[in-house]
Amino acid sequence: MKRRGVIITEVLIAMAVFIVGLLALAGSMTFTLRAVTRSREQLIEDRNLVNDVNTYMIKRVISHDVSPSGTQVTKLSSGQQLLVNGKSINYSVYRYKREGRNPSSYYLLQRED
Amino acid sequence: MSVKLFYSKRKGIALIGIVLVMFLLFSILSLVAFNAGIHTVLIEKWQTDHFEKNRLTYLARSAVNAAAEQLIQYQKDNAKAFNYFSDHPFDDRNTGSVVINDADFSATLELTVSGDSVPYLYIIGKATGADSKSSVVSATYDTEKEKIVEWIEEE
Repeated sequence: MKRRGVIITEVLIAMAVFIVGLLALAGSMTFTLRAVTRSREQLIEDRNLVNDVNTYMIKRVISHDVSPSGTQVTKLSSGQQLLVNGKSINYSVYRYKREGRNPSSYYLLQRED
Repeated sequence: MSVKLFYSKRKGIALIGIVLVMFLLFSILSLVAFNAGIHTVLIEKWQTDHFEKNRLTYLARSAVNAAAEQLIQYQKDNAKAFNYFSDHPFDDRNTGSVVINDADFSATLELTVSGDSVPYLYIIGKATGADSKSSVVSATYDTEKEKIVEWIEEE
């Protein structure tokens, strides 16, 4: 007995299964790609923040008279004292912060006159 | 003219063929997606592991620099003389500590200034985070040159 159209049915079913799998995989890849892109952007922003902190530190070590500046800088406290051998170091605490979904921040202590 | 396909007498061979090709394609695509995902996870894990340590290092570094600035100022105010340590100028070790608290960050900072060999003073800054991770940064301050001549950071 000849079974006409059997092969085409098999191929169609196989292709349907394939397309469903492919769509699932495409969704998963899109999700991964978004995560990678977001991670990359975050990595770059973090590097920029660290660069700003490093730039400030280098300038401060060389000239002793610069202060952290920029939109990402907040002065958390000032006029505090750290005692070493009974002698006080007046200092302020600054925070460099990157806003976003996963914010990151760096803290620096700066001597004040 | 009739065309005879090679599989006309082998029922199901097309299905097996397509399934095999699909399997191969899925394997390759899954591997690519998995590879990209695993790399992202590894990078983020490295970042998370080092982030806290980096924050503590920057804090310790800035504190050591603040102490050095204080020593420079002290020498300026005292005509380059150096008797910062009253009893034993270069044989003393003194530590001061501060606590820094913010929304997502808490650290204790210990700053030690010690003098063991003329004309150098050693400044050691140790920042310890809430999870007991710590970072130590030290510097050698030259009382003749009135500046830090060497920075040492714990790996």
